Amino acid sequence: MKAKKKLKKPKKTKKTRVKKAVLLKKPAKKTVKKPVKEFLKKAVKESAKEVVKEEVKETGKEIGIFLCSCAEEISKTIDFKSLTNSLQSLKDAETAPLCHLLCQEKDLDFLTTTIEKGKFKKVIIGACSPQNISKVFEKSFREKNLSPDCFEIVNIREGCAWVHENDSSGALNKAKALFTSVLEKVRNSEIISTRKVLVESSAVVIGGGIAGIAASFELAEAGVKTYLLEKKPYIGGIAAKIGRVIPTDDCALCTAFLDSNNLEICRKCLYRSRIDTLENLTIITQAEVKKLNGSPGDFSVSYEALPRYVDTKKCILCKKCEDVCPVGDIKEFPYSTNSRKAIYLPSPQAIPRGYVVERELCPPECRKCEEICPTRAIDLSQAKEAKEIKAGAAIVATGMEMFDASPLKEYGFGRYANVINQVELARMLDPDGPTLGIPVIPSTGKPAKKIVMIQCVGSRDKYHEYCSEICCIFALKHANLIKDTTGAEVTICYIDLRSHGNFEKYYTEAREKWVNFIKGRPSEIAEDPLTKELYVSVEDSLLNQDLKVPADLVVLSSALIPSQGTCELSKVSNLNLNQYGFIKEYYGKNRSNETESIGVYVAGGSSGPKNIPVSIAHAGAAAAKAITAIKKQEALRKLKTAKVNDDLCIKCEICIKVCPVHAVEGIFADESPILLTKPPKVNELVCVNCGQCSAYCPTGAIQAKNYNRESLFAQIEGILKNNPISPKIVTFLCLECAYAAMDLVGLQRLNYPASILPIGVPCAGKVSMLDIFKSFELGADGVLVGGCQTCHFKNGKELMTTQVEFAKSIMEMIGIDKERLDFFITAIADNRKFLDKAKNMTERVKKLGS
Amino acid sequence: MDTVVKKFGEINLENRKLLLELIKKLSAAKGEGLKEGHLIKPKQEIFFTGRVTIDDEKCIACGACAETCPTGAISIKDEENIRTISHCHQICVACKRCEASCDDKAIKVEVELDVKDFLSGNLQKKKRAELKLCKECKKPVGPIASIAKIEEKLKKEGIELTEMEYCQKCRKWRTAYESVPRLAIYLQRSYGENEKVP
Repeated sequence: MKAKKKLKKPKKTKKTRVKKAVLLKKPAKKTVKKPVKEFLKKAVKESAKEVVKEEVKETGKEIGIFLCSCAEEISKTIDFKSLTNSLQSLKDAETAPLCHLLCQEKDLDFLTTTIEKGKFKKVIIGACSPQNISKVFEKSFREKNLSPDCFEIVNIREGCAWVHENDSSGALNKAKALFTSVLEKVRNSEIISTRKVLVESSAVVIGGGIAGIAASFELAEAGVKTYLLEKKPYIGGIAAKIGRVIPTDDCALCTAFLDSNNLEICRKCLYRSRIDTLENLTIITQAEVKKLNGSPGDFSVSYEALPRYVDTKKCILCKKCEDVCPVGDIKEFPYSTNSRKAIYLPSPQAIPRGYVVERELCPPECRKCEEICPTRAIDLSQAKEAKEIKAGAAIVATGMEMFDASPLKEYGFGRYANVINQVELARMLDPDGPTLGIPVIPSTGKPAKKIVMIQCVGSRDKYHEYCSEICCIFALKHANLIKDTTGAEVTICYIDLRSHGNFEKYYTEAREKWVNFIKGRPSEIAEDPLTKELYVSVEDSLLNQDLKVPADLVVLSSALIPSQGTCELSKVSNLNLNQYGFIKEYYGKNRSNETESIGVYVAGGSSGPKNIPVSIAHAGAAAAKAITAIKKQEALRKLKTAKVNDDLCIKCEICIKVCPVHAVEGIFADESPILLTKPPKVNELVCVNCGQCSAYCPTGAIQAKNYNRESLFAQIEGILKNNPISPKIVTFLCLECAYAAMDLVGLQRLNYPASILPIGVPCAGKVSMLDIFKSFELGADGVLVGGCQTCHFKNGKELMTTQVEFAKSIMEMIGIDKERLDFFITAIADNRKFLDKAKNMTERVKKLGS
Repeated sequence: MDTVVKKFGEINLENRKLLLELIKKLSAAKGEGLKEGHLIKPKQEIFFTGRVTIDDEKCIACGACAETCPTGAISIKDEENIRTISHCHQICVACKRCEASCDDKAIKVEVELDVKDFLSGNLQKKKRAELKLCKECKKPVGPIASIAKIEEKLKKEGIELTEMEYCQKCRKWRTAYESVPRLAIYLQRSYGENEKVP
């Protein structure tokens, strides 16, 4: 028998003594767990009992109230017996027996069966916060085909029980007050109608640059009928003029990613993929948008297209018309050495494939091209076409252009022949371009030997504050190309070199190729009037020397500004522009494809300077959004929108100006194009029911749904009436971030006094002086208003703070202490701000007395 | 010419009325009178109430601002031969329709709140203009500056303005008499002793 080794007994050291103490503690934990487990079993049994036993009779009462104790979490603090007693005496509401887990299966069944049997039209549930639980109830209502007229949730957990854990009488009184207030809201509620909205199934892309082409290709491949409108006779924009682009140093336009006939993945350029023959895509060139209006799903784009005079399906590019054209020597770009005629092909690979005639240049009776065309493709009698397209979604891709640096007199752009900008240099460096890839001096035509580039011309200064993002990269790209082809001397004058990410390789390559870099902003370019040679005066700040650099050719990296098309489009539509003139994005952080006009998306350079890879990704995202909007063919919308009472309207137009989403539309008569003569109408597909219009309407003609003046006053009265809490602070919280901040304080179980009586409003901008003073009249001791840091409805925060400012001044004048009114701005992360404000304000108002 | 004065009670500005009632009630409950206040200028563009400034030289007192004012804050009073245009701070809503409707760009609205004026509802006189009186009945025809502007505009078209010496009613009578001279007997109204009937 093997001797078993005895296990050593552990010595009784301090450690073991500590261990024992820990061991002793453990059983205590177990005893805490038991009651909950037992309790849950009891709860399941009880709710099962109720489903079997209960036979709800139709009591004729409209409103059904359900209470949930949330597995005893709420009933720990709030005495439900007392609460139910106070609710029993209501004449129009029936309180169902207490449930314990209303969001779980068994109690949900009880809820839906009780509503059905009791025929309740309006339902109130007292439970946790509506912001996280209402979806659960709505889903089960949908599954059982229940549709109550009005459905409200009273927040007695995060807003009451969990934050007043030490004050159960205060919590009970607050819960009673909250129920009274919500009952008033439910009694004043309006019926929300639903409407089936038919969505147009085509899309319009305005602008045929690289982003517009990418977006329309994605849309066409997804099966959406797309119209691409382009101002020039060819598509491709700036990218079509440039021979070599970053990051692959080859030509730009290989946007076709799928050959839909063979369903094979490919990478073909416009020329090879023949994008103009795609089934779902219609390209309209020389088109100008005259009007863009409508609502999501139902846009109307009116355009006027100048004729090409050449049928692109018949043109075989034989060049006979060009040979006989008498009008010639027209330069497409200012310095270029190749010239064109009145009938011309924009470039050999231009899409749409075909010649185009610039009719104004034709001599009066000349018909030479028409007569000689072998396929009879030319028709000089074509007329302008003006049409209207109905679309479900629109994408704006009007792009950007390079700033004309003439205002910077010190650089002489426009005066000196040999000062050009980077787009013109790119044209020169195109191996298929006018100078066959060699940079030439415009005044002599000889290859340039000394080239100086100047960065940040018109960017980061008084002309445009922003950085144009891509000029450093393409300047480096051009410098490398020049060194490869001609070996000329290249100098770049820069302030900072922003070759971010993988583009650092361009900088490393430039240094290896002996491109000179001078860190300084040139003060002047001087020209020798005889030889046209240029001298660039610049201070090299790294060497602390003043230099005068001689140059044959100076290239300015001018700023990238919004294109002419963007400005024109904003005038004929209700698109907003940002402070720099680009199309304004809806919310820069995570909605950079949307604009402030719902349903119109933006892609590419029209919302800010972008390089090609980013533009194409941006366009793909915009196309995805447009496809989702269109594929939701028949949407059943609940019309929770504002409404105008025509009798009360005095046509002051204030609601039209205040609305953040352009939902209020004025019908202007022909005789009175500026001033309204009829009451405006609310576009039900766009209105988001924020209520900002109703706060500024002087008569109360326009009211938000379920938050009209009577309802709000009744809610304030309900929350203050017979309420023994002291002091009473009516808190208006916007149902976006401010209410969520209150919920988060509750989830963290941080306590504050029960004086805070919350009322939810859709946007803080809805709260006006009228509501504040009404609260004081009805007995409030203080008023607190909460809004979002970045208002979800554009200007709510500013509107709310201005109203509070006005109210404070009036209060000062009539003798009410200013400290009784306060406001706070929060995002969810700032919920401690709400906590501090709640505590401090209660202290202050207590001191002031009533 | 009829005067254009819309009274406060005529146009029902429910929200504004409620606000004023509330403020008055609260100040009465406090028992203290109104303290001295100052002008409050909001930092943000807001449509609440405003003050109006009329450029004396540009304004021709045509009354377009009063016609388009939706609440009746701008009112016109014609007394003898003086027309006064006044503005009421209490019911102005700063909608700026008067600015949009003024052809001569003479009127400007500044959004600000003067609590005393707001609560008292006084009219503030902004512009005084002379009226041309009818030769016949001595009632006002229109402001002299307006008539001069109309004359100027018509001169460019080549039309002479002759009938502005008389008010509308008298002009009607004159045209009637030119076609039916015996009207004077039927209606027992004398027609210009100095005028010769054509």
